[in-house]
Amino acid sequence: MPLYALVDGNSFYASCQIAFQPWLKHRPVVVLSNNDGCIVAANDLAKQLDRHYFKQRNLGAGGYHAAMPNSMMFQPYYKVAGLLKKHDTVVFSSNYELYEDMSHRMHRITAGFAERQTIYSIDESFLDFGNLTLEAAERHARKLRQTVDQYLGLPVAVGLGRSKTEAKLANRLAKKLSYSNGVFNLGNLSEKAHDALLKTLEVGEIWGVGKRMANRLHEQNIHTAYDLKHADSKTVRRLYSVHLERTVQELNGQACLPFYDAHPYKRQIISSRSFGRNITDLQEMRQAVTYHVCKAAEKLRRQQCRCTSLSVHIRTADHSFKPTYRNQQSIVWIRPSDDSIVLSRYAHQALRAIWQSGFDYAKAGVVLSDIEPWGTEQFDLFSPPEDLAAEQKSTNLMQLMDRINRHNGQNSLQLGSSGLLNNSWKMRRNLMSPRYTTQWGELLTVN
Amino acid sequence: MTENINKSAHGGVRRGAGRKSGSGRFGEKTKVIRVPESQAETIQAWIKQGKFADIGNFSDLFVPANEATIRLPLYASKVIAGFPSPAEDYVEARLDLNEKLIRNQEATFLLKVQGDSMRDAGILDGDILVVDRSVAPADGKIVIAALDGDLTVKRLRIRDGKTWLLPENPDYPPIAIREESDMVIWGVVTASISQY
Repeated sequence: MPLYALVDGNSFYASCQIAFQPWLKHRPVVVLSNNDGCIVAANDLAKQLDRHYFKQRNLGAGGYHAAMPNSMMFQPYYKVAGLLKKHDTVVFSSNYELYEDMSHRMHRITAGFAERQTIYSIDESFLDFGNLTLEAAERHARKLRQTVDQYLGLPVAVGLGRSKTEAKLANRLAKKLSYSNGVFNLGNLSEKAHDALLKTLEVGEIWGVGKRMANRLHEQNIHTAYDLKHADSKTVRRLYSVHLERTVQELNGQACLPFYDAHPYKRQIISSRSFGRNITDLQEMRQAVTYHVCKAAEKLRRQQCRCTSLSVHIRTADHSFKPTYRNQQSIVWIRPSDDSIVLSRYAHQALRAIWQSGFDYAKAGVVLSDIEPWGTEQFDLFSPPEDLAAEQKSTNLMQLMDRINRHNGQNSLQLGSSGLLNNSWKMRRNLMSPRYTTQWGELLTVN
Repeated sequence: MTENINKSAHGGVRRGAGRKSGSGRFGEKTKVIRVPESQAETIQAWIKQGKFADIGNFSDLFVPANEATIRLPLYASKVIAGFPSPAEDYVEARLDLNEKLIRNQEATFLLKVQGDSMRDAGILDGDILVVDRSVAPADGKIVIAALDGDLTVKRLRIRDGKTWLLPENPDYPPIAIREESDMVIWGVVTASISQY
């Protein structure tokens, strides 16, 4: 019988910070998103503050879809900064370099606990525990948890289930129920106990049920995970989707989703960010667009793909007192490419089509799409041999560039049109901790 | 296999002796290859699983490849032209400092020393410490301890149920850990790197 484990870091970003400053676990800690905009992670103490102070308040819509008016999570920092300060909260800017490295370590350690692993996000991975008995699986999960804590100082929760959906749900319970001590197994419960627990979980907490889907389900009187588990799967398929039907089966302990994701490569790559300060000048906007297109292209090459279309979007901030503007332009071409130089030429072409001077731009981004893996593209029968030679040259150049940037740090080698050192518009990270694990100059110091 | 029939009746190669090529559990000819010692177990385990056709999913499997480049000799045994090097048979993987200094890559962190409280143990201001968190702290080990909002490197002393953090410099006092103090051993120091 299949048995899956979902390993998930608790408040991952905040925990990464605490791992390097262990005494912070006695204080509320929060981490902010890009440009120090919104709150994206909070440790337990900060979450307690949140529950205590914001339950009755209305903070409004927040900066992300996931934001709720009665919680500080995903709300703009400025709305809650005063209260956090009053309660001695430690606030960090996102230190992506650190989180990436710790994530990589965590995934590798957990991979050692199973024959198969599939990484789901920066702090989550599924493990195949199918070769273990239920009791052994639980012991194994505890050992895993203890190992990650010892090696990295990161707390993780492990959910065990007969399907990936069940394992995800079990993980929520592992975090929710203090008696679980971070490991919860939904796979070995009696039907009655299983049902009782699922009644305590909102339908929106199920993997693959988004906010909108949850609202539609409420209309059909499906409110809890229990309700969905016992919904008629054929009706679910008719009213909603095959996907949700599968979720129902997975909730009933039948593994329907393949262990490895069928789409190992991303079909769309986005690089987009708000600026640290507004941009009014086309030259600077071109730099920003080049920067994003190069970042996206590097990701594209890392997953060994090429693409045949991209779009550029730019927009002003949502001012009430200044004129606003937003626009986007797509470009489609024939010959698949992963060359930063080629792609930025297209991106500049797109930018020219939508650029309007006289606005304060706050954000720009690039989306690559129509992505295909290397080697699947159709060769152009009529293309002259010079083209192939040029392509080989471009491949070599990009490989070299990626290798240098991997070795000597991001952006060691970049296109001149990205403005090189002159890019004060880049992300604001005023509260960032040192990049302890990736920069020689920023190592943790001891005395 | 050579075609020479050995003239001597004693020993040497005999035609048709031994297992037939391709008759093993892989069903094809096999080949001896050189792999980094640290990876041998993983590669063996992978072969045992026999999932060769599964290459498509290979990136998802646990492959603890060393991030740092492992340098392998360019030539295994073939010399294309010219005088064969007498050292050819002795070519091995180059020495890699990571291999010497890092036992558990995921659990190892580098820290920088500030101050001279561990001078007499050879740990100097500005040195880089290799800290392996997978090693269990024990009496006599040099450890990184988190103590009252500070990280400190000291020798751990556990005697008669009492714990001490000992500096290795007479200018600094030993630190007694009381039961109520908030002290966590962050990791165990396994090497110190001094650069001159």
